[in-house]
Amino acid sequence: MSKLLINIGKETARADLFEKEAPKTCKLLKKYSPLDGLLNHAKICDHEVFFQAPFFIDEKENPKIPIPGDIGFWNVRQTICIWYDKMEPLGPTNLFARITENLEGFQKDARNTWSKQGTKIRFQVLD
Amino acid sequence: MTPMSIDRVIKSIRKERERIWLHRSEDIGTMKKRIGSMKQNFTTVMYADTDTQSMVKYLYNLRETSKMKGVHLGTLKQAAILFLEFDRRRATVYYRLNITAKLLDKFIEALKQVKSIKRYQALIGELLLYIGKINYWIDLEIPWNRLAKAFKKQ
Repeated sequence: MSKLLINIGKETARADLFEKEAPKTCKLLKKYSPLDGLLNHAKICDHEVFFQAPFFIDEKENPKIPIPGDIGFWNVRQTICIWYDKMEPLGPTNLFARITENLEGFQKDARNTWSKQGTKIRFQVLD
Repeated sequence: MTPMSIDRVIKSIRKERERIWLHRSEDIGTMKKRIGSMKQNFTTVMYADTDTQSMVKYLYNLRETSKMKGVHLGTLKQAAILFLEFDRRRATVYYRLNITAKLLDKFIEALKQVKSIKRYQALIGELLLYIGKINYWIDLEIPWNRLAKAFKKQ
């Protein structure tokens, strides 16, 4: 299973990529790795941060209701969503990874995004 | 104005999106200088945020509709042109999103030349990614935390 290295602000977290459940998303993520972005914070659903990806994924892959630590792709906005704590998602989203290391550190910097948006984030796929 | 080829328009929108991926578009600076009602720019930024968010939603839905069986290309083109001409005017007059407005001009001219659903999807998709990026840049300008606290006190 490939790992995803996530740099957010001064924190580093790791996630497991769901290559079996979301093969197309993981393939595109590998193609664009490292993918840099600036984080916006969700306004309604609570503890979620997101950033834009430069691609579309038109197929439904592993659509599920996220739990804290899950990472998904929302095609309406070509956006990578990271649910970092309690939230109320709109519905099932294509989940392609889950944070398995240092969710606490990620939470700290993600929470700060609410008062200071635009935190830098980098997704790097590790083979 | 001689219309650019569809490929050139796609390339120019992509190039601009890549340029502003991590560096704030100059459009954000000109937008913030646009004074709205009662000598303030808060509503300019908020309305630009809402309008570009709406653009993302209808561009996405037009792209999705174009994937359906039996759709009529002419109707899809006309719908997109109607929506975008209105928003191009708002982008120019109300929000001073000057780079975006110029790209929308080129886009509308290119859209008129489209002769296949595949090309339509390619063109709409490129604009969707670009407007999505602009919308996120506008969103970053809004102090959501302070606004929420001030609103709560009312």
